[in-house]
Amino acid sequence: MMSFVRREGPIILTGVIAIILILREFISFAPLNSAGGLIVRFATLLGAFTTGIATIALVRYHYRHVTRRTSEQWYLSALLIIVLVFFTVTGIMKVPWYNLMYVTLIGRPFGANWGIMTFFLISASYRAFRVGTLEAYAALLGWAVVLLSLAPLGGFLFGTSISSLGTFIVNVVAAGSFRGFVVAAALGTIIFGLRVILGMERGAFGGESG
Amino acid sequence: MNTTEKPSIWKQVQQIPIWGPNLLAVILIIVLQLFPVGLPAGISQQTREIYNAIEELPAGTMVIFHHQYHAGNWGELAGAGSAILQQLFRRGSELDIVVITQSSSGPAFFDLYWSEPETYGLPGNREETLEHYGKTYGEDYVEFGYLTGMESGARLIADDFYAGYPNDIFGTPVEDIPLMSELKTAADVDTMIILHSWEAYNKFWLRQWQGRFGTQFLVIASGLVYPSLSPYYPNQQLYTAGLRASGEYEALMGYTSIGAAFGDSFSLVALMMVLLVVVGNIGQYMERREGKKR
Repeated sequence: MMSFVRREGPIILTGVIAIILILREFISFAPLNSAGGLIVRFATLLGAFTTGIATIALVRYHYRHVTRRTSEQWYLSALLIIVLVFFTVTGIMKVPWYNLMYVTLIGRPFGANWGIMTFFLISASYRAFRVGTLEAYAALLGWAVVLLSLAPLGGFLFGTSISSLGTFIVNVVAAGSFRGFVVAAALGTIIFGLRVILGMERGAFGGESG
Repeated sequence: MNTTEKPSIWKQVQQIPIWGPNLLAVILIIVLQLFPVGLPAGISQQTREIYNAIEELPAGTMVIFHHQYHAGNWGELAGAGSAILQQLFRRGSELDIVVITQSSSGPAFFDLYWSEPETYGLPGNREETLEHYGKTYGEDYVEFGYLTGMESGARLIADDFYAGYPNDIFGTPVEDIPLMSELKTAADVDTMIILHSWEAYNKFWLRQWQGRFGTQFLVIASGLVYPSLSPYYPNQQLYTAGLRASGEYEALMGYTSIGAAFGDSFSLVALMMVLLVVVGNIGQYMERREGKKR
């Protein structure tokens, strides 16, 4: 019984759900459509539900650190719990200053974190983009053209030609290779999906594949 | 006696202390944020295509304004978002606009438009802006909050909008909002405008909406994901890059605001990066050449 619950059960369930969802794309049959709709609705609810489970797991994990006074950790865990509870309560209460507080306390530091990457990019591009071969020159030229074509001033300084060249690189050269990649990835996804439906791929259930 | 040989000028230009350019970048960013000059910018073909597509929307078009805002892409996309909203608004009651998001930070960041309108070049808060453009909340403009579920969420509201969004941001039941009687499924939506910074996100909305219902997609993507969206242009969607689009869109709308300020900073820092790389490579080339001569 345990083996069925842990092995065959999830495979059969996944297979049935996948077949319903695939068939309803091709066959117009009312019961199939409502079953598919119900599954999608359930999946969306499940997405919200997992956020709740993750929150509980997070609180339990950090609560342990606080009660055990883990060195160099407990006060950070305490802060996390306080912030989590504070935002949850004020969010549920719909306090009028919630959005402003959220953007100021979380949004700004998070944005600054992204902004700091600028300096790593400056440093990395200066030190790493030293070229020695023709291929490397071509790649560097492509980088510079696309970067300048994306900068508003690029078009003004170098004329519309830089913008056109950047657009050509992205929409013709890159698009061609990306399309090949997208088709290959789609075929791979179909094959992987078939293997999951047929129970040949157990990685999705937490087991070993094959 | 000091026998240490002074490195050549070509060696030195390859070893510029990085704090110098970084300090210059900090100064450029801060000064241009405080005093945006609105450096001259050309209008790219891709931004103009999106602008023209919105201008040509026929009266009665149902538009979904879909913002995937979070702190990391706000600076890049906010200018374009505000300008596009105003382009939609200035058509008055001709266009029906429904605002949605699948970012948990989305509602808070979208609310910045209404709490700090002067920063984003808007005429006032929500009520003032809607009044300015002759829009009426509930009749030709509605805001919804965070939709969970990622791709299954996209599919859910494509098949049954009410199932994903039972209430608007004010908690009004969707059945009580007059505009929503015209929007039940994705088949009722003509155009979706998405601002985002995640390639996979774009793909699953394309799969669930454009692929199934032929919805027109107009996308403002962050520079990070912009090249990866090229396979879907122009047949599945029109798209342009966030920061460039922000500055260009403000120019097209005839004002300068946050998009121009960020565009100024980005332009000069990008130019500095290219110059640094060029200088470093010239140094390397000349050093090798001199080495060969010896």
